[in-house]
Order: sequence, then C-alpha cells, then structure tokens
Amino acid sequence: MKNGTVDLHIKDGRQEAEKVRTPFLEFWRKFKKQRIAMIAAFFIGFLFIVALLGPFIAPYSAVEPDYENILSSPSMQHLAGTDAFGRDIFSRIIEGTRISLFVGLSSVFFSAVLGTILGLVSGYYGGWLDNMIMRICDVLFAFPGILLAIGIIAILGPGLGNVVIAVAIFGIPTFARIVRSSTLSIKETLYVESARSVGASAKRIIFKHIFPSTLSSIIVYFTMRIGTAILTAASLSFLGLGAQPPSPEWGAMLSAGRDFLNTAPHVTFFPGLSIFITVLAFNLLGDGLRDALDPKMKD
Amino acid sequence: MTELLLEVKNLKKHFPVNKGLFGQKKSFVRAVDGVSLTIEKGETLGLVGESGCGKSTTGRMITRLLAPTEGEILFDGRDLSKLNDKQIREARKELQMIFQDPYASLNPRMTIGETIAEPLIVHNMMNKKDRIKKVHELLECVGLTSYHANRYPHEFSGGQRQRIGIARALAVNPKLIVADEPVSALDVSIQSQVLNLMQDLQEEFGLTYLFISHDLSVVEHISDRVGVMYLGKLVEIARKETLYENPKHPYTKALMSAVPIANPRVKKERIVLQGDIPSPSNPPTGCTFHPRCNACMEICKTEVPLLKETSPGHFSACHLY
Repeated sequence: MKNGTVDLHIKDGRQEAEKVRTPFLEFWRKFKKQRIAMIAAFFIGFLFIVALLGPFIAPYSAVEPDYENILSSPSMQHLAGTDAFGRDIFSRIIEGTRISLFVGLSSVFFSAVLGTILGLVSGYYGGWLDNMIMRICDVLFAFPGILLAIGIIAILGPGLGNVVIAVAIFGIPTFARIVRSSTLSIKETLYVESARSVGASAKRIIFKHIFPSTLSSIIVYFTMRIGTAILTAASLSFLGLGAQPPSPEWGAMLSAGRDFLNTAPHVTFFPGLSIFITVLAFNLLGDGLRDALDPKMKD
Repeated sequence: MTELLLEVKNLKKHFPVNKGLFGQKKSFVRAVDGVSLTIEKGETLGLVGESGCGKSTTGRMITRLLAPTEGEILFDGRDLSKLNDKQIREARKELQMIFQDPYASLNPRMTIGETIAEPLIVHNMMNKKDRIKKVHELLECVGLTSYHANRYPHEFSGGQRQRIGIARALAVNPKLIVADEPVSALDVSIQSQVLNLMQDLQEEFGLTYLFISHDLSVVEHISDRVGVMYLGKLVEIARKETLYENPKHPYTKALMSAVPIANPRVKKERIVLQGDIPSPSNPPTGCTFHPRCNACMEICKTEVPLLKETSPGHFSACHLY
C-alpha cells in the first residue's frame, strides 16, 4: 500500500519535469524504442563521419596506382585487396562514401524541395493547375525509372553532376504526389478552416499549417529515397554514364571489376557490399522514422 | 432602437450535384434557400433547427468561409458577399468564428500561444512582445493560466480547448462572433461553464453573437432572440420569451414540445411529426413543411409562405397568420 502511494508520487514528479512535450520529444521517445532503426541511424552517422574525414583516414591513396600489388587478395596490408591498378579497394571505398552520400543527399534534396512545392501548390489550389502538374507527373511516371535517368544523361552528357540532376528529376513526381495527397486531406481539416476564418492568407496556411503536417511523410520518404538514389547513381556509373574511371565511385568500381569477376571477385564484392549496406541502412532508418512519426501508432 | 450590426437578405447557397457521365450540373442541393435576418449590436441571436437544415451553412456564409450563391450580407454597412479574397481577410478582423469540434479546430503542431496569436500576426496587429502579453491576458480572460501558452492542444480537455478557441476568436476584438455549435461536443457540466464564460465575455467586451445550435435549452439560456430554421428556410424568428412561450409556426410548436421538462409529474402533450425531413435537393412545393404539417391547407401546397410580422418583433412564415 505504502509503496503504491510512493510510486504515484514519483510519477507526478516526472510529469512535472516534462512540462512541455513538444512534438519532437514525442517523436524521439518513440524512435528510441526501435532498435534496428537506431542501429541504422548510428551506421549512417558513421558513414557521414567517414565521408567527411575520407582522405585523412584512408590508409592509401585512392587514385595512385601501385603496379607491384595488382589484383592482390584481401590481406592485413590491403583489407579489401587491390584492383587492376593496384589501388587499395578499402581506401577507395572510404573515399567513395563521400561521392555516394553527396549524390544521394543532393539529388533527393532537390527532388524533395521541388516536389514539395509542386505538391503543395497542386493540392491546395486544385483546378487546372493541379491537373497540369499531375499530368506532367504522370508522363514522368510512364518512363521506367532508370530509363528516364539515362534519357536525361543522354541529353546532358555523362558526369556526376548530371547524374545528380537526372536522379533529382526522376524523384520529383513521387514527392509531388505524396505531398499533394497529404495536402488534400489536411486542407479539409477544421484547423485549416479555422485559420482561414481568422483571416490567414493562402501563403500562411500553406506554410504554417499544411507544410508542417506533411513534413513527417516527406522526411520518411526522403530517407527511403536516398537509398534508391544511391542505387540509381551507382547503376548509372556502372553503365559508364556517371562518375568516370579514376573516381572511386562505388558503381564505377563495380563496373571496373566486372572483367575480373572470376579471378578476383573481391574487386566487385566490397563496393557491392558497401552499396548494399548503405542502401539497406537508409531503408531501415526510413521504416523506423515512419513508425515513429505515424500518429496512429501510439505506443 | 439599437443599431443593426448585421443584416442578411435573401441568402442562398445551392451546392451543385454532378450527375451524368460528363459531370453536367444537373441538380442542386438547396442547403440555404432565402434566409433573411438581422442582428443588433450586443445581442445574441440563436439559430436552431435539426441536422441538415442549413444553420451551419448560414453561419459559414456570414463569415464567408463559403461564398453565397445569392443574397446580401450587410455587415456594419458593407456587403460581405461582394468582397474579394483580400478584402474578406481584412474583414475577418471584425468577424470571428468558434467551431463545434474543439479537438479538430486547433492545429496539433502549434502551441496554444501560437494558435491564439495567429489572428494578431495575420492582421499585423502588434509586435512580438505585446502579442505575448496579449495572449497571456486572453488566456486569463477565458479562465486558463498564462503558462498554458507553451503547451500543445493534446494536453487539454475538451472544455479547455473550447476556451482556447474562444480566446483565439477574441484576440482581434471582433464585433461579431459566429459560434457554430460551440458546446455540442462538450459534456453537459462543461457546457454551462463555457456558456457562462461566453456570456461574461459578451458583457465585458460588448460582443454580438450568432449562436448556432440544435440544443433548444442551450439556445434558450444564451439568446436574446431565436430563429428557427427548417430545410434551408427561416420559419420563425422572435424574442426568446415569445418564441418559447408562444410559438406560432407548427414546426416550432412541434420542436418546442420535444424539449424535455425536468419534472416527471408534468404531463405535456408531445406533437410528433410524421415522416422524415425531405431532401433539400428536391424540396416540396409551396411551404416546404406542408407534407408534415398538422395544419396543412390547400394554399400551403402551392404558395411559398413569406416571413411576416405576426405580432411586434415576432416573424413567422406560415399561411395560418
């Protein structure tokens, strides 16, 4: 009995302590519980550090050839072996992290910004504007993803910068659709109507009321999309349309190792593994974010 | 004679119903079909009627959340129905609304302080420091405390949220507040608190209310005059006392007889209407109430009765008078 009252008391005390429960704290409380997503988040954090420090922590140069160690197997000296020019694959992967993360983040960032604006405008105003934007998106959707990217590269010419543009364009319609559909439902909520009754302008309603409510779906899709973008960029580089040979881009490394698949599988195995783990980490993080941000999943 | 604040003339709202393969507009739902009413400064006009009779639509047209199909809304001398978007936003400074559902009408991602300050920001009314002060004042005014300003809506009960909604409506010192079923979502015990708060605020700030409700006893408690709506039309409007004691329109009579009396010994004759409320997309000819009326005459089937003054200040739309 006495214990019970003491317990209650402690609970009250705790409630006093967390006086203001902001949406962010609420999200963090739920996200913390998801072990796999937390691991993925830590891994991605680690990748970012690697990307930043790249050249400083790589044991060897990523581009200098070493003709004495051509295609040597993994050993203590070369953890992931060397490639056809004797370059240390482990070092190249470390330096390639920066490229892959840069391409993934920047392209998804562009598609998210443009897609969100288009989605908000199209969902909020409706009418012919909505029709036009959505039909253009339909046209873009009609292309198989990688084919569209290849088409854009064919126009712009190969190179990493153009890969970013291609992958960005190919992500815009999906963002536009996701944001439009949440805009359509949020537009009808009573709190948007009450903001309208107070006298708020369309601009204010879109940015102050609708956008923050769509943010959670944008964040989730953003995270998941990074994985796909990295994969697409790697595929384009593999096809020789993206990063050009000396660059330690993971897809380009796969492509370069293709000829030695039977004699020296490590040349393709390790870059492939890096792509796989990175994409997986982003997808798992996205799943975790979705579960934590979904208001319907209350504990 | 007191000053008129709002005069609504022949207000109509017809919602098109798309039928047919190619979406031709073939029929209309006559949600509001020719409502005229006036509200004097400082009074409370109650608007009652059953679900779907158009009372909320009327309220939403007066605040211009909906554009009227036809009619005039003269507010303080200006016709609201003719304003463009920008002018309407400007006009909303003097015309605020309280909503039925206190759970859905507050943005869950904004603190109470932000929500209450929004009208002030929108109308560029104060600098940040004054705004915070004003928000704290308003919170105290509606019976909350100033430290609630940093909290989020989910931390409040229904009654508290409705107080927040009222505080937001008060922020810009409006002249007219349209309260659309402000207490229907609340417990009976909380209802009276909120109603009393609204009355106190009316005295303090000289507010005018258009109070929309389906609850006759709530309307009786708060209103000075009461209008009764049936199928998109105003059938009777009078001072509260006259309307409740001496209803003229057969529909009002039936409505009044349905109010329960909290005394089991009092036997009361209950007028039970036959049939259902007709569809507003295909209303009956003549008086829309005639198929259910117990005093129906031949004229009722063909001619639409107009709102006539049957005794001073008592208007009724019925061929009997």
